[in-house]
Amino acid sequence: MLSCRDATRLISRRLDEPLARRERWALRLHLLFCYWCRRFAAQVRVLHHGLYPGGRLHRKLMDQGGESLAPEAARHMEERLQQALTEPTDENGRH
Amino acid sequence: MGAKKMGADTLQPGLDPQAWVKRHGDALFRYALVHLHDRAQAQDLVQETFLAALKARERYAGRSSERGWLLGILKHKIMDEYRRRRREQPLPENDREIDALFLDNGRWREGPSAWPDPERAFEDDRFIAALRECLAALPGRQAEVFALVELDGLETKAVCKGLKITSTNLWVMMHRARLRLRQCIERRGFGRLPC
Repeated sequence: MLSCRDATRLISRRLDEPLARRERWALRLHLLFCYWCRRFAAQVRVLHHGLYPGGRLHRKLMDQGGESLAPEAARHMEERLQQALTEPTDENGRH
Repeated sequence: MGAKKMGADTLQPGLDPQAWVKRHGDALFRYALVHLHDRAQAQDLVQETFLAALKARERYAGRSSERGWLLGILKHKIMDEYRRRRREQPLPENDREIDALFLDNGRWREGPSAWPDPERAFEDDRFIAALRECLAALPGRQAEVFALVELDGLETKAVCKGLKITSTNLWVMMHRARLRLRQCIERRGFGRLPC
């Protein structure tokens, strides 16, 4: 019988790749009897789907949070870009 | 050979570097910050991304949006940065904190407590703040692997290749990261909200 530690290992991995048939059955059996691992599985699945690109948690992490470039940093970047833009030579140094 | 004249007058159609910082600076910065958890480093990478994009602008084929294209360059830079970090600090990870979650016989020492309905939690700014902090609190390698697999949705094979780690190593990192993240969120009070 699988231990909870091993069960959580499989629960984690099956979110990212299909398990072997034997692992699938062992996990299914464990989950049948283990309330805590069922709960763990549900929680990490929620995080997994939310954090995935396009998921709601993902969007929230990337969109809001009040993080933005410091104004000086933005200004500095604009200057560097402008500078690079007006450099006359191309990548091969030819004209 | 047709001599090409480069400069501000021969920009690829669809790219407008003069407006990049204004249009994409914050979004790229946030993206970098979620991956690096270090403002100065995130800024540096965004700056490098812009300059690299400028150099490579001839190769912009217009297949993706300007934002998507810049983001692609930033993603490469993040992967490079992860690789560089790993070279500098090759620490073996014996995770005591994770071991402590389980008893010697492998059973939970203390099982996970119930979480509130995700529909509600996802709309709760405190949950998002806790998640952000807990992601930042993941130890280096776990944070990196987790960000690439979970946040970027990269194939695990691509992550192994990019970071030059074995798949066994990757699964160990993902397992630990998930255990730790889940527990961290719970510790911040989200296990005990009324559902």
